[in-house]
Amino acid sequence: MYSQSNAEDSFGDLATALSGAGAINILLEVQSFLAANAFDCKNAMEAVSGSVGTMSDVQDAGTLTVHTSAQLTPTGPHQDNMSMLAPFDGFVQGDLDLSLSTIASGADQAMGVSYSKAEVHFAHLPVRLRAEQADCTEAVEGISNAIAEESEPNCTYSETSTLLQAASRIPAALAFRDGFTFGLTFSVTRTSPCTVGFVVSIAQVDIRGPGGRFGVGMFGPGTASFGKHAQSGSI
Amino acid sequence: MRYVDLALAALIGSSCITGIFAWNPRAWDSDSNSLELQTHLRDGLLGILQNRGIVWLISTPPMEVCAALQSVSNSSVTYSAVLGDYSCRSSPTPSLPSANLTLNLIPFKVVLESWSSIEE
Repeated sequence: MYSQSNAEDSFGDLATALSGAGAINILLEVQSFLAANAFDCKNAMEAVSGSVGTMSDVQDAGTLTVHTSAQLTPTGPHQDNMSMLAPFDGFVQGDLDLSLSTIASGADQAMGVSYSKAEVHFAHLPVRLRAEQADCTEAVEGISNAIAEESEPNCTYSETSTLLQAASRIPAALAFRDGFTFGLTFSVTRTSPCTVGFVVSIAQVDIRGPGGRFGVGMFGPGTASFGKHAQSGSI
Repeated sequence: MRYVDLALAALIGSSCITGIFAWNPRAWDSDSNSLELQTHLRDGLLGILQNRGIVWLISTPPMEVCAALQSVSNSSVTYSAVLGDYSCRSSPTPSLPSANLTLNLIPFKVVLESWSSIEE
């Protein structure tokens, strides 16, 4: 005999499927946001976290409605009971991890059954935003310090370019080691003392997301004057 | 008095007939079996979602999704889908017990369908 308990099970199963659909929609939305923007490495995490916090989804199946909202999470279980989100289910240390809060509510008038359940699920995108941010800020700092250590050159494009390339060697190697691309653009902004403005750009490319492959770019602007530390050291 | 007897007899008669319909276990069983069958069909759809994942539905060419659903169909249950504008060719005969699951995904709406080949 079909009973109230069967009806409740059906609601539970349907809620799981609709929660899964809501979660995938939010992951797709996060992917689009990440792919469409370049983030300042000073506040990349805050920018992404703020945007993810506004994302939500509603799945309406007539008798049951599931509302899903998201936020970034620093911790969570590696396993979740949402295998239908694979390969993005569960928490992965170092990735962009999301906790997804779902509220399912509905009623079956014929069976006299009402259903209401709140759950939290975990999902991730293989985006190493924290590592990318750390490499980016360290690169800006490293290049600024390296330039300040150099004695002041002839402030020509050619000479400053050679020195900047040398200064970016270690930050670039660290970025490559972590699987990121590294780029540096600069211009001479003052000749006395010789000062350069530069922008470090770091990107994680070819990330596999639910909406296909994508990249996440970050930039870090900096300014540095040659010989600043060298001069202060000699005084 | 005679009219009262007739009215009473008619009332008892109609109540009995109503009672026979209302308490016919076959009628209840038929409804119950239908709901159970629908639950079974929906469980099958959820099983496919759990095994394949939702991403599979939006990242795989629709023809391949249809072929995969056909491959898990058998003589008693048929699985099919409508993926955005693309529909797997087969669709259930209205008289057959069926279940469907609609997911409103950002790239397109997915309707998973299953139906029994056995008439109720």
